[in-house]
Amino acid sequence: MKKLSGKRSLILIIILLVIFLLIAAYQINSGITEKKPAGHISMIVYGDDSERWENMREGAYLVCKDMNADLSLLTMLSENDISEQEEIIDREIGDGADALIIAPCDSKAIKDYVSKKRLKIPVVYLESVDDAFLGNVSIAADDYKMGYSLGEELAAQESDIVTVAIISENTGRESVALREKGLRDAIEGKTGKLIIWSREGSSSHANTRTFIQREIVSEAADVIVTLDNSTTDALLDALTNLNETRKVYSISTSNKAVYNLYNDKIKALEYSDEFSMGYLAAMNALDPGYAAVKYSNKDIEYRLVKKENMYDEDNQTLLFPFVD
Amino acid sequence: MFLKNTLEHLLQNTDRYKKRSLQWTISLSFTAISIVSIASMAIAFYTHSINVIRQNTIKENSQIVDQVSWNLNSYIRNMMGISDSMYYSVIKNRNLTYEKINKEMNLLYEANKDNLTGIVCTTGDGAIVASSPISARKPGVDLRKQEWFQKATDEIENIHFSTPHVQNIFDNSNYRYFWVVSLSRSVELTYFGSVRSGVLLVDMNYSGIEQMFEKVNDGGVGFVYLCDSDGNIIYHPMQKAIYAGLVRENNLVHAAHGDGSFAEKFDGQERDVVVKTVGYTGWKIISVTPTSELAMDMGQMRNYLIMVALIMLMLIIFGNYIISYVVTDPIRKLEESIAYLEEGVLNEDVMNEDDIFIGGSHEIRHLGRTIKSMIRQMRKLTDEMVREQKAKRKSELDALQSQINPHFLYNTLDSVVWMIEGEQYRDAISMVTALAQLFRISLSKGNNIITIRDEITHARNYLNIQMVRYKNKFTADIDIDPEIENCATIKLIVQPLLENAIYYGVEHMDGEGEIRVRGYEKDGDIYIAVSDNGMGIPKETLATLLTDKARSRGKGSGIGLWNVDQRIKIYFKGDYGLIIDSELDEGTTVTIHLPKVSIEEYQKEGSR
Repeated sequence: MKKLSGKRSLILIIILLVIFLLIAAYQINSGITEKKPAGHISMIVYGDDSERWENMREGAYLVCKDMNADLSLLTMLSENDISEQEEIIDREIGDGADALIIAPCDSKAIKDYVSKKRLKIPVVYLESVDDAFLGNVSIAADDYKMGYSLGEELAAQESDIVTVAIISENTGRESVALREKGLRDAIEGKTGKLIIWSREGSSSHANTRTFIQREIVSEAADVIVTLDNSTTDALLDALTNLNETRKVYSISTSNKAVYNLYNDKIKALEYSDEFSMGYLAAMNALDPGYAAVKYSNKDIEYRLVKKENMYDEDNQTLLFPFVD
Repeated sequence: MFLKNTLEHLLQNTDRYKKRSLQWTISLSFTAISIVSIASMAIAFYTHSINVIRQNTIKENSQIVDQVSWNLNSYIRNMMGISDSMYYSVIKNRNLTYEKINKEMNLLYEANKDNLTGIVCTTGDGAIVASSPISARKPGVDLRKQEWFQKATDEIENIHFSTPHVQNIFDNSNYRYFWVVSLSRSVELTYFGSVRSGVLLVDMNYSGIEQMFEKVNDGGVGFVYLCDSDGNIIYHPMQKAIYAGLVRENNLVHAAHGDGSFAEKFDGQERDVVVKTVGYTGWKIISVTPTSELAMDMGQMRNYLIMVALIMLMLIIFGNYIISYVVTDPIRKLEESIAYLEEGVLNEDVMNEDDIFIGGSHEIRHLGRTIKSMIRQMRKLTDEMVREQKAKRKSELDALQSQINPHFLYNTLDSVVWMIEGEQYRDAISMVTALAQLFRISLSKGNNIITIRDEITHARNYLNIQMVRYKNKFTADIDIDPEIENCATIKLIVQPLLENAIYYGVEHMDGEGEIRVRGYEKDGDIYIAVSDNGMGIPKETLATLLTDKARSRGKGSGIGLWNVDQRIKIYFKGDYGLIIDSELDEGTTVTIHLPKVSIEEYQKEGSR
């Protein structure tokens, strides 16, 4: 204070500090009151039926809501157009997605495509994906066991002379391939003739239904097995169109499959918990560390459901999810 | 208190702290106390606020739960009213053999279809009597195996509410399914005049309950859920995740708890829980507020408190600095003025009480004035002491000066005797007369200040006596400017110089010695020089002549040049005294330097 300059400097410093503190207080206040979104998750799925993914989206949405994140579901025009899905992935990355949840239309092709990009954001696959790029996560039920379980049921219920047709569509998806492998391992030597109905080319619902109708007509099969939602729905439509009945064993989560299970059009249905898949996928996308610790032992549940037990307390929460 | 004591202890034992200025000490102490006070206040306020927030949240949640309970009660009573209307107004009054109840049932359904999925009346063996809306019954469905049916037939007195389940009676061709809560009761059906038991089912749309709770859970802190008295969850915002085993809820414990609020720790999370039972159903509405969600509000408050505390602290530090400066600056200035005095070592020339700073607060001004007064007193006392010392010294020196060397008196009287014996009466008379004059001037009526004329007369008499005694071994010449003869001088200052000139200068020169006394004025001062052509004084002796060491050396009257010099310095302020010039084998001149003042002027100065 002896020197006037010292006194002025002190006052100036204190005024600056007070201004700094007020600005800091304002910033902190703004930061608290205006809760920023934790991120944006893009859920990229195959097929043009968004309702098919509703249960999974619900699971992811619950996490996003809890963690204040945005979620968008992006469907395709077709079931397995790899280039279209790659295009959507590029677009979402370009739009600044903070995490990707991908149901790949072709597991290997999409996995390779994404891996090459060496993305810095979390990528979660809703499929069994081998050798996913470091840090990427795969959320799926044990597809091989699902197929095997269905095969065991088929073998148990049917005679050893029945002709079994497996609709082998969309095998580019590792889940379908694993299910088929499991199924074939389970029924090998326990049933009669095994027919594989497969084809190349377009995979729209109408085309698939037409293809199945043609196969039903052209090749006699006592039992038909479908391994995913789209072929199951197409098979049910084909049978209705043809006014035919067959013993159908399916792995599917569609409402049509559940409805037809009660109507005896499906004898046994392998149903997986897609709500949990969506929930865990979003959790891994938003907080991988927490998810890895909290849900390390959590397997995606699947159940073999038949008409007799579909309204059991446990099964009805799985088969008839609450969907807002 | 502990903190304060610790701080004091630390401060008392810190040398650095002790050495700091008063302003620094006050600033630091006040700042430390302020920090402790603000921190304590902030912590107390924060703790209190947390409790208030918690209590308020619990209170708010209780109010929400009450509101939900009221809404749910209304909703359930409405459903029960539908069931009652259907039973008491329609079924009981009809003979079902001839009359149908579909019309009334449809009317009731249409009026309440926003909340209803369907109304069904069955016989005791599960056959449908009537239903609304009219749909195809699912093939193969045995109603008797359904839970709502069994409950109604097991306890026929009560109305039963199921947990949410998928309606499984009618076929929905569009693959839709409905989650419902079933209200069932046993009814009496009249056929052919006889009464048979049956079951009335009212399926409440689950989405009605869901929406009611979603509204409550939309925003705010925590969540509200609904379970039955056994803990089965009816609604929960995370119901799907709970069903999937992804999330857990403490519903069994909550269901067992009575109405009220309590705190719990579940899955490592602290939570406040409010429980309220819904009237007839026994369902429990449960509000759960994780403390971590409250922590957001608490965190906001904490950040605010830290900010406010920091700003307050900065202002207090600044305020402390200013206040301590205002308080201590006058003290510092006072201390500096005292230090300035100390540096002057109470020197008479430097010590000036007007230099003491007087300013600041009343107390410090008073302190300054007191110190000033003390210095004035000290100065007065010192002056008096100096004056007394001077006077004492003066009298001592004067007394010494007034002493007549006994040898001189003896020799003079011996010379007189010798003259009388030799019949030199005239010379004897002359010598006695000179001696008498010598004594007369020595006395000077007790005055120490005399005119130069008298002093020179005294010197001349002394020379006359000594010239007789030494039988004209030296010659003497006195030349005084008449202009200065009336000026004041101290008495008996020339005679000691003559005595020295005789004893140390010309005593052994056998008639060749010369002593000259010259008085003159120069530059307004008076000079009286006594010169001899004696052997001179060695330099080393010369250096000590005007010091105390020169006193009483050798012969003579024993009064040294030092005595003369000191007397002049005491009587005349200023650069006055003796000046000695001497060259070996050439002679010595001792000059008296005096101010030019008359006796009257000197006396006036002295009285001042």
